[in-house]
Amino acid sequence: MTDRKYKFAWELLGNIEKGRPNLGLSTRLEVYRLMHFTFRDILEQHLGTDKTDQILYEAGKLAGTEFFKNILSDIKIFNDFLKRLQETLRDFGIGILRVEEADMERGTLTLTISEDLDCSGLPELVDQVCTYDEGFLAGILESFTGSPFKVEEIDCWCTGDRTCRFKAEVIQ
Amino acid sequence: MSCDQERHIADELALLLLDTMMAATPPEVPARYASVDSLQRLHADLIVLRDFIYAAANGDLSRQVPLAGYIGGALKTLQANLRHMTWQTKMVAAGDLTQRVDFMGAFSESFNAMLIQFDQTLKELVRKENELNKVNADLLNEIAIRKQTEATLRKSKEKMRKLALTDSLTGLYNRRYFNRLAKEAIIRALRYSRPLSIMVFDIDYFKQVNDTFGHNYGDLVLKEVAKVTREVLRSTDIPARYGGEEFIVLLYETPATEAAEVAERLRRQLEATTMVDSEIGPIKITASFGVSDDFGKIDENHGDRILSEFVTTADRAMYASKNSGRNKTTVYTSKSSPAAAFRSKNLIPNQASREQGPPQNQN
Ligand SMILES: [Zn+2]
Repeated sequence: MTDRKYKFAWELLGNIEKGRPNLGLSTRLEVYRLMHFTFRDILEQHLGTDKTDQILYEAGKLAGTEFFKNILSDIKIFNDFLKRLQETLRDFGIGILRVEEADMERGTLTLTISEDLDCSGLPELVDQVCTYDEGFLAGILESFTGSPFKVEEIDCWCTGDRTCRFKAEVIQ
Repeated sequence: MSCDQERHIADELALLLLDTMMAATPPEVPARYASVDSLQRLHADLIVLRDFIYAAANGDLSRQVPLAGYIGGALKTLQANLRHMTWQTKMVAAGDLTQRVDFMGAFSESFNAMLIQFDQTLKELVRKENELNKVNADLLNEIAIRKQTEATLRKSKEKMRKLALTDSLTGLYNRRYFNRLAKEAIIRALRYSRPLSIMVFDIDYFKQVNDTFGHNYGDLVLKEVAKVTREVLRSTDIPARYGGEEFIVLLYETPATEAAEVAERLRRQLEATTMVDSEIGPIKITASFGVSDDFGKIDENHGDRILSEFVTTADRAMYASKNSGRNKTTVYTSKSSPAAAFRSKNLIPNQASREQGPPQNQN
């Protein structure tokens, strides 16, 4: 594709403060999930489950890459990066990130996100649904480390606040 | 099925599940219930829970919780929290004291309070160390300044001492220090009956040098005279500038005849030396010398008077040289026999010269 109509750019997010002087930066989470899951529904109808998952993963990854570039790119030390990531995800209302394990020599991380934007509070489903989140984390980790990452949601579970567990691995 | 039978079965199953939870070795599902899938699943889940909880209780947080739903979710949360806390503790151990736990109730509060306390203590320690380092640096600085001051003081004392002893223009001893040395020398010479001479010399027509070439050249001449004097004299002789263009030399262990030889050497050398090359030509000078070894035989406790008389005898001899044509050496000796004659000198007879009153004041 040479002639793109909707190539993403951070600027496309617009000046929200100026654009929404009364309603401000936030909207209700239902709206976000409504969009997210209706997209998933239609995509799946048109393209099938695997393709849908692939598209959501890639979209998440693009989002993670842009998010890193615009919000987190000034950090150089890994532990500072994790800490800032925790703070930022919380500040943006994306979720509460906790690190279970981070072994950068082996290039593996185990992360959990509770009160997740996409899936906390969802009825119990058989399959993991946080494909977009997987891509999002992969985009951020790749941007920081410079190495390609594969992120997989290995556990998406139900308690009072649904928590998701992700395993991230450098692709050798 | 009768009510009793139903109760019996329920009781049997409940005991089976209770035992599965509580017994050290869990019972198997009895064969007659093997086909009841829900029972098999419940039994199997309980076994998994037992194993997971037991392992976790013994510190193994790595096992997967294969259960979904409320209890499984709660256990996963607990596991995730503990594992996150482990990671946080690692971060703290690596020096990150900003970690905070926010999911473990009273433990979180204590843990965070501990970290805050730890952080403050560490900061306080660092602050105190910095303070100490600063005090230390200040102290070292203070010591360095003092040392420098001491060195400067020592140097300036040394300089003052030298200034007090020497004549700033010629670098020779000054009159005051010469007098001190001479008095000590006289006392020693008297005590041990040793010979001692004083030589006095005065540059001839020095006023003309100043008038013709200026005072700067006059000063240069005085410096050069001092230099030649130092070169010609023996190492034990003590030269000094006595005032104006007059110089004086103390010669230890030296009778007048010998002192006169030294004086002659110096006189000839001064005569032969071009003092300075000025714009209008070379400056040459001569000097008139007087030598005496007559310091009398008076009480050694009156060094001042003896010295003054001693110098006067040498002075008289010098003026005798001036009066008889300058550029000469005149000897005044205590020995009864007249001193040996020198090529260019006036000999003043012993007693006679002493009776003569002060010589005319002329250069
Ligand atoms: Zn999830």
